[in-house]
Amino acid sequence: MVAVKAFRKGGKNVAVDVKTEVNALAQLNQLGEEHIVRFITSFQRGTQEDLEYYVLFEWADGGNLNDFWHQPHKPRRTASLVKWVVEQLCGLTRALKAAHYMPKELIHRHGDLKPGNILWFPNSDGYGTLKIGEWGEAMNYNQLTALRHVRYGTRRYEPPETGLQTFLAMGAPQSVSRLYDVWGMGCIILEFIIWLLYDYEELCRFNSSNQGYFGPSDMFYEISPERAVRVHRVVEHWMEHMAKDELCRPGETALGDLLQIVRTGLLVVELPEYGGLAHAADTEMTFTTHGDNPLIRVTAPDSTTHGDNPSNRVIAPDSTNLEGFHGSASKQRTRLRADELETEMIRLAEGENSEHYWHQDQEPRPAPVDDTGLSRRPAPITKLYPRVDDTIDHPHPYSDPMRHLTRCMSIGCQNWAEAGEDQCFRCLDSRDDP
Amino acid sequence: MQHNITNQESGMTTTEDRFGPKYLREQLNELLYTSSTGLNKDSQKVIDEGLIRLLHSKSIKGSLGRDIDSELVMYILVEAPKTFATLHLVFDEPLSRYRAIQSFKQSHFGDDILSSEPGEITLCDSLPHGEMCKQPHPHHFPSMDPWTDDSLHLFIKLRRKFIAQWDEPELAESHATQTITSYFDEGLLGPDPDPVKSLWEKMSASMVSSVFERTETKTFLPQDDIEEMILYNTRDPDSRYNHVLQLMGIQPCNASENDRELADYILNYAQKIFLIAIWTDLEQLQTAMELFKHAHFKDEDLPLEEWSEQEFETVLYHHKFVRMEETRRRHPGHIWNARSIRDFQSSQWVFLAPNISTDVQTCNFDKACPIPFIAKGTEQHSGAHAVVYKYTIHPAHFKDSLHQVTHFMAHNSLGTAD
Repeated sequence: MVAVKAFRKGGKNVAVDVKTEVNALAQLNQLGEEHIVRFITSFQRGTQEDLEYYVLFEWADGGNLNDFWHQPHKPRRTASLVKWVVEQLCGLTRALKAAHYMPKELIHRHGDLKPGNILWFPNSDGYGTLKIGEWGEAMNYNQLTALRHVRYGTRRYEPPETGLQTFLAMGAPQSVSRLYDVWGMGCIILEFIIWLLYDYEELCRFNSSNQGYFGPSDMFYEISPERAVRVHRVVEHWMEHMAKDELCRPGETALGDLLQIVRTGLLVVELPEYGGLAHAADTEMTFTTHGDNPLIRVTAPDSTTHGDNPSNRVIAPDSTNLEGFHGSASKQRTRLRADELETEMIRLAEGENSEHYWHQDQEPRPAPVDDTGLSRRPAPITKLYPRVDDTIDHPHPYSDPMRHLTRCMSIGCQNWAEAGEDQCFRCLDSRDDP
Repeated sequence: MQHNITNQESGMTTTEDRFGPKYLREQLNELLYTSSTGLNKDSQKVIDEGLIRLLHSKSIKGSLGRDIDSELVMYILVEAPKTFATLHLVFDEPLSRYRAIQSFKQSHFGDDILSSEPGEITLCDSLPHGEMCKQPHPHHFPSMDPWTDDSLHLFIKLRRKFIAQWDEPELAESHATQTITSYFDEGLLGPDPDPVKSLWEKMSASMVSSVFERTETKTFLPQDDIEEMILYNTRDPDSRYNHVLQLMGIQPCNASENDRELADYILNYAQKIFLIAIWTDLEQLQTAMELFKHAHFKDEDLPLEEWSEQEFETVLYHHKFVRMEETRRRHPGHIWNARSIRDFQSSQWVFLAPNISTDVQTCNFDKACPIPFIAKGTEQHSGAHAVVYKYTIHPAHFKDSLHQVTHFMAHNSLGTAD
């Protein structure tokens, strides 16, 4: 059985888009990654003036990750199930990293990671295999305008950067970074943890709660009227609640360590200074490649809640490397790159062999109640930090509109909303940063 | 695709006359008379073989008194030969038989249901008041023309003349399978008196419908059927060779050097062209194939470029097939004319269903080309730029070399981990 993707007619540049997608899919096949949906072939039919395009993939019998979570009989939370989940997440991360850093750079990122795009291939002697599918977004839309205006389906799993893009002047070139995908992985892993710890119904309840600090927001983040960006209140609330559960203790249980990675490395608004670019990291962060040397350690979960807490600093086990890791005096926690996430996942998968780590013979505490009173709590302010985009080769950092925007906002310049960078004299005057 | 009724042999009984509306009924009665009624295994075999001999597209069309599509012929030959035969004992009128067999086809009635227990084929209470029964009955008789109480009773009674009542269902099933496969096994019937007709029927019975959303009306002959069943590729080379010669009306023992070279050419370069010629009832098959050989026209030159009606009317003499014939024959036009070329260009696609291969990144398919998808899932997913459907590719048309690579890699990575 095969999945046949029939492209709609009438779109602009369909021919070019399909050709680009097919080339990239063929490259993805060559990676030989088990956790990437296999591209079979493509064909076009009709006359040159009226061509129809089709792309063929292997068919996922189980549907997608939502279908896996919504099985009629939820698999029991056994050690083998938890190990399988970690193994699959490890494989998905490895596949993502491989795609992010492909030799020919045909693909920079997936661009639309969400449970619906993680496909489930069940098998007869286990839980099956999860694979990343629907790479179409990755190829067709380098311009985020498309993402913003004509996006089909949910936007729930988009990262905070997408929300910020709406503040850019119309027509400004926009880009999608590899780090978008890491946020998406964070959302997926968090939902997996909720499903594992509780069940599908609780996961639905989590997904339908959208009352944030600043009002309703369907994303895993929220933006205040002052454009302060932070992780969504509901997400924080659930993560905090789960971290206090005995079944979810960091360092003691696999679920706890998994949650810790999500909290401290994935659902993180701040981006690393070099974006998702690995080769920049290779020169400056060589120590990160050692799998036996954990990348980051964070303080206890309770103290990581607020960005302005002085203890909320990422600390490397070897403190002599700390400056090198972050490349500046700022010790602000930043989002992991896919290669760093893979290292973390491998450490998790291979690190502990005690039975208790994988399975605890007890039930979790009840899931968090939807405490709408929390929304009235004053929201801690999260500062915006400039970043360097990694998918567009800008001649100067200030040519990157995203960086320009974040800079404007950080120095209080009001021109960003109306004018392009050329008209923003205040910024031009202060182009002193590298 | 049509099997033309010809009237070329003047002074002899024409094909049309021979297979008239009465032909099958008379032949079937004779068959039942010569074999003992009250079926046992031996007489069953005589009847089955007789049906295989008597039922073919010409006799069926004659019995129904009209030209019918190949799909109905295929249904009768494969799904319902005994059902169709029984109808001849019930109805005299071609139109009644036609209506009855059409409604059977629509309701998927076949010989399997015909053979079921009497209780499972029941009369509907609503009969014969001319209204369609709305109750879910296990029967398959709409209460409309041509069915009446009498004709239904007669049908249920007379079906026993063609079906065995064995105790062992497995045996009955294997016999049913044999009945169908025996169409394709010339050994059962001894030397085939009309190999072209038999091959045409084999092809007709092997046609598969494409379920691809854009080619749903198209049928194709699967590659494995072309290779194994029709051209005997799995058999010894002599057998294939002789089969091709016989199809051209040449007795292998009398074959000249030229004949053998022609058979060689067909088997090596022009299998599909040969089959298209047979499928379209092309006149003078051997001469036509010689023309192809002389012009070096091979399977790889297919598809034949599609000509419009206007081109046929104005520049027919430029067509490569017409020129092919002009250069070799004193009286051209007997083989290639507008009609035969039109038949060829429309029928060729039946034999040209493409292979879907993981080795090829992108293919271009003609709009007329049937896509070899044989099953379609009910699920579909819509996105902004595309819709995703679930299809099954005909196994003979799918080459999946990636699957092995994946297995190899999985195996390899396990080895490394260990």
